[in-house]
Amino acid sequence: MREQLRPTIVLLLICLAMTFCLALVNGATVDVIAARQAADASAKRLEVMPQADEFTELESAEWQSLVSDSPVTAVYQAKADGAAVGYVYDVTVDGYGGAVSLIIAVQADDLTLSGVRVLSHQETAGLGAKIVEKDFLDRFAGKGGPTTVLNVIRSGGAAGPDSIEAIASATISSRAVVNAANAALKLSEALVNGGVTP
Amino acid sequence: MTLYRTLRNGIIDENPTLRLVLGTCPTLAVTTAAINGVGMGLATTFVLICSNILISLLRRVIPDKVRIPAYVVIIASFVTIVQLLLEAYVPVLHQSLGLFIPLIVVNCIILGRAEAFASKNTVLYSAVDGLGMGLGFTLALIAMSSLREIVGAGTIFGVAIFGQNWHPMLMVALPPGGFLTYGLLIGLMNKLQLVKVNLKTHPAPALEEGGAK
Amino acid sequence: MIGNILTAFITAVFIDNVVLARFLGICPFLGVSQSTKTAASMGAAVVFVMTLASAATWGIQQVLDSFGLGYLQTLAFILVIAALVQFVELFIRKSSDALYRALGVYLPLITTNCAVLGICIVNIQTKLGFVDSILNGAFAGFGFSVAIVLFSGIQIRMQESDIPEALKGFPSALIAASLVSLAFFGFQGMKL
Repeated sequence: MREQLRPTIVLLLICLAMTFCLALVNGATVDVIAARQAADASAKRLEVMPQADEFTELESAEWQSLVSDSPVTAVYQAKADGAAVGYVYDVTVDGYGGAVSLIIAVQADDLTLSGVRVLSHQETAGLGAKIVEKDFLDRFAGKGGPTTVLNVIRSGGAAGPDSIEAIASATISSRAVVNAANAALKLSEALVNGGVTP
Repeated sequence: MTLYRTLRNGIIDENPTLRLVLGTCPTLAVTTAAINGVGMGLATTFVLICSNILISLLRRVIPDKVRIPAYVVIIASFVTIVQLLLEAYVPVLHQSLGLFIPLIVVNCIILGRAEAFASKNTVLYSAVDGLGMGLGFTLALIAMSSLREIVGAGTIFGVAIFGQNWHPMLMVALPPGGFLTYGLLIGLMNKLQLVKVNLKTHPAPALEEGGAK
Repeated sequence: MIGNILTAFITAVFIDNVVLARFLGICPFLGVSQSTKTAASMGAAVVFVMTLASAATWGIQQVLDSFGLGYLQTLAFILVIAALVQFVELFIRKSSDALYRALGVYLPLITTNCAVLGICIVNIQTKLGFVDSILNGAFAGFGFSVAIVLFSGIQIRMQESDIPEALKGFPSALIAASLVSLAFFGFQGMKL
């Protein structure tokens, strides 16, 4: 019996000791992680809407009824010196290799895109993964406007005012970003028309 | 065996990645960019050293019957510590290594060293063995990831090294290229070993097969 | 419903194949694929354990979440998988001699097969429900089996080929795996 008991007790003690250590490390890092994630998200928001100094999240009840089937997951009102300047959206769409989540900012006055950033994605390295590059994302700045729906043209094609040139050999990934931008534009218009002024 | 021999053993003679062919999954999966190779290598080295030290300290306490579960618990705890620290202080790496951080637990190099070395040797030697094996793994990952990043994307640590007209050979950065690069690297190591053996004018012995788990 | 299951099946087996696209479970893929028969046995054992592990870890995660113990995930999962493998081994030994002879040797190896732990964590990360987790576990295991059985055929052919001395063994196996992976790459990005 003694022989049976000892291994069990030793294993149990090791488990307890290691769990205790983990609890300590977790206690030490949990606040750092939460603070960093919050700082990260607000820094990204500031990147796409540099003129704002304050972001407040809208209750989902305030906007979810305005659009159906929207890939938007969160809406923030951006304010500068207390005056509303635009909206910032968290959007998640389907890309080529999986979900792509983005932050998209829309100006309140003329409903144009102020900036687009990719938070996370699983696109093919070297092809679709280029959607995170500034060179591509800058193609969105200033596009949009009331009732505009952006379209995708192949790399090298003739660009119209409402078209976004796709990354070479990565049209599906490019289209995912454009779809996200369109969802943001559509919701902005609905928000303005619905009286939820930023 | 001296401390130097122990260290050298991990880095060169029994390099876990290129000679023993252990820990293949992270070697293939995270080596698309050099920075990932460095991060994965160092995270694994940290876990290796810590688990080797603790297991060596406890080697007379842990009953033989439950040694494997005990090792797994110890390794998993250190992996979680690395995971939490990376998430708190190096979030970029945490995101790009993703799933493969928790999977360090099942990296056969770590359990292998616990069983084959730390459970039989003193603390100092176990720590040095962990360091040597960890560095061997890290260096192999750096070699592999630099190669894949340079050929597959035309950059190294994110810095472009070729002109505008360079067309990277994308396939190398994709999964098929991972297998191919790894195979060729081991082949190269074997070739070097063969040349060395021939130079010593020994009768060439049959090439040792790496020990798969 | 049937359509969804079929989509999940094709995705897990061909598009997101655990071995060839996700790089999980490479060690047994290279090590245990010397003959088609052992490869098939190993595959069957993995399907079995992966399905059970997906179900068990889903439950564990609910418990961890409700106590705010998310940081114990890795520790809890690997212990559950190890215990599960032991239990399955014991059960098979008691119940069926033939099955034990076929799978027995491969079961202990599965604890350190990163595909099992990997798929369990992926199930949680992609927030799959209970039934979806089990299905994903089973399908991913099946994907593993398909890859390892296919590859064993190639390995057997290679054993009879004249390969340069330095490339014998692992290097040539990896290069062959590269070609198989290239073939599976054709499924990438397929929309179902």
